[in-house]
Amino acid sequence: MLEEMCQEWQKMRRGRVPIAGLIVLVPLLYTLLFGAVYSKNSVTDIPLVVLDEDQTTLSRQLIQVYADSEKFRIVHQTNREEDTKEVLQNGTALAALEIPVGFQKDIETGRQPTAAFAVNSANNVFGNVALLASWELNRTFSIAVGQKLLEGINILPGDAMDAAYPIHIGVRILGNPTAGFADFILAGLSANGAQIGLMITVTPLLTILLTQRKSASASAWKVMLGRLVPYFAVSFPALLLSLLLACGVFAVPMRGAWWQVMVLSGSFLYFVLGVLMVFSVLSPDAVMAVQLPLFYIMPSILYSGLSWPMESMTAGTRLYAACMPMTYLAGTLRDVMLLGASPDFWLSTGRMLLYGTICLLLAGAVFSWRWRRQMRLSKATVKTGDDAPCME
Amino acid sequence: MYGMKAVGKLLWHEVQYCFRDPRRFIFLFGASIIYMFIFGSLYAPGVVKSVPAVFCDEDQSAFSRHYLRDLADNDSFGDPLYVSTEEQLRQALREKQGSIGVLVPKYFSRDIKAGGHTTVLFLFNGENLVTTSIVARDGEHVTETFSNKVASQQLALRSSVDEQSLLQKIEPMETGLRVIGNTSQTYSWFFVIGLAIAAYQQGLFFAGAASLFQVETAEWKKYSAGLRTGVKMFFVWLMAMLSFVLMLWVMHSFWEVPLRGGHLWPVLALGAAFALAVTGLGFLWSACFEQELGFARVSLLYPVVGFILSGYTWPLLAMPRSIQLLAYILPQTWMMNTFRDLLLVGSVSEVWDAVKVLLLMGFTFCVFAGIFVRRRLQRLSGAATVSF
Repeated sequence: MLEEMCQEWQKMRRGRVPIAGLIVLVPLLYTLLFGAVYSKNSVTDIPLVVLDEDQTTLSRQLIQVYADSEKFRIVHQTNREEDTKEVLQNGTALAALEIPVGFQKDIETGRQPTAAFAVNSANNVFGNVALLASWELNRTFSIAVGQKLLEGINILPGDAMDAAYPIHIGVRILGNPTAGFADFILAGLSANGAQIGLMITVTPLLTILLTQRKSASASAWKVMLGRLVPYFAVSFPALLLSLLLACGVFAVPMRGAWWQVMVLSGSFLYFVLGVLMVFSVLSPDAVMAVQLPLFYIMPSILYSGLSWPMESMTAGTRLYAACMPMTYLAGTLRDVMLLGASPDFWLSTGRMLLYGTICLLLAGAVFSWRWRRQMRLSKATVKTGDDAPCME
Repeated sequence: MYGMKAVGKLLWHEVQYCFRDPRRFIFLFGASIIYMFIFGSLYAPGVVKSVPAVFCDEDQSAFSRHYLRDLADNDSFGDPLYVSTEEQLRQALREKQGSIGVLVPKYFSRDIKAGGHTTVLFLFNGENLVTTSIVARDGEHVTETFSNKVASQQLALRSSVDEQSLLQKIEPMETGLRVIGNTSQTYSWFFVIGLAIAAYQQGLFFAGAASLFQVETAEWKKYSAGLRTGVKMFFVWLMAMLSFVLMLWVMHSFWEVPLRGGHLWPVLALGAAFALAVTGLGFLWSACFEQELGFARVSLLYPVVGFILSGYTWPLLAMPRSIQLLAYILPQTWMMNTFRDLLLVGSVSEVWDAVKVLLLMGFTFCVFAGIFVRRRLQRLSGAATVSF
């Protein structure tokens, strides 16, 4: 087994782009690149077009509230509704604020005018951020105006504020107080980089072994496990280094213990290697072995519950998600990093180790069978004096 | 005439090869459709509803119960779990029994009735921002409505002014929200469109590489390397266009993605330009590798990077300038958002700019790919015996 490990390690170090280098570089590059992408942490400066049909003090004050907000950037002011629609349609602005004629007069006479806010929600991220921000700005404006109106009916200024706004809302976001996007997703993307790094390097392994090995000097099990160890040994520190980078460079918090991160990462990579071995042994050739997990490994980041909550998935999709290593890592790792602990820590770790073992047993059994068959075939061809067709 | 006949023969040869090695068809036609079903079913509920909630009512008054009932009646909130103390509330959130916690403080009712104010605390298990933003919006909306109603009632009692006219002062304006494009803000359309395009692109890469690395017959080698290269790229582009039309049809028929404005020709023009750019890029990239395995390995690094850099989920304007510049050299960036806006909003204003850029990319990639692939084919098969 040691000999197999050494052989594989030698192979991993060779080549123009060594396999070992790929395994290390992919998660690191993913972390650096996506860390840079999400470095602003939140969406600001949403381009806004304003249509002020009222042109009064109050309408200008409402516009000023939007202008002062970091969420919006006024890019255009129009005089007609058609122009506003056109600006939205051609993409110059992604949101529009429309203040109707008689806005101030209607407020003063208690007719509750409607300020319209339109948003292009083809991108849901924009849509959600813009709607929430607009609602909050309008609320602030409305409270301030309401307070003034109540003062007009002989209520003292201090009392008027409480009268207009009796229930305040305090919001506290546990674990991610700034609602930062990098904190939310970067660790998951680093882990995804690690599994993609493994996917592109380890999946052809068994197919290549089956077609290139000339003699059965060791048992199939020893060959498979011995060959896998270097992949684990390289990918494990690579993943930890990526997470360290996420914390050190992009300030993703690490409130939990590093030993927990190590246990989770180790179990995750063990499961990933097990799954990839199944793909490897079932594929007819090396290229197919690399291509097939496209439908399994690639969707795993979105199936993991990292962005789309598990509660909103159907039973079928939850079952598919349950087969993916990322499902057990992503949420648990984020809990450990952001909240300091996860109630699912041992359960996720245990499941990853169990499923990884099942996958390895399955892959090993099939590999063992194909290995013996291959050796029998090659012996037969040697006896009949033919060239072995599938040897190197 | 003879040239056209040769082109026809070579195209027929490619078709036959595809039937012998169906992987190419599977990736070309299947990748985007499989992704549509994988992600269409994932996002089938469309919107996030019934988020698990934990309520802590320290006041235990009629007012507080009424308020919490209003919250629980909202679609975004699931059946709430009730706890007695703030510590239990936090514990429940830590143990994932809920994603949102609402704490109604002691003296909630008394403070309001006395003309003062009170603060309701929303605690989010904020590691999931999708849940947080949706529940925050709905929770705050319910609270505002309740607050305004209570305010007008209490003020009417104290001031003897009509409750309705007080409500008009407390809530002096209304906000009309209008969502353009994805009106119900469903995530299924959003992701089905984006991920189908990402898979389509990857399928195209694989198909191009399979064509490039296929074993050539003696008959095939009779033709010049330049002609063989051109035919290979043209064949993949042609299949890509068929695949694009099939993808559109599946999107529209099965996932009910609209084609607002009915701009079919701009959609096809965009698809054709994108297919050209990706075909060129795929051939150019794969020609840099000695074996198909090497290309398959490296190309799989691209889908996640391309998808995120395209600005499809995280907007380009929220990325640093250097990353934006990097994103603009990828065909996907010019395709994804324009294609989505064309389907969901019916916006054609950016289409022609995107088509121009994609065509420019396509021709550039194809020219360089032609040079590299031709050299490769010449190297592999020696000098061609028939030239045009």
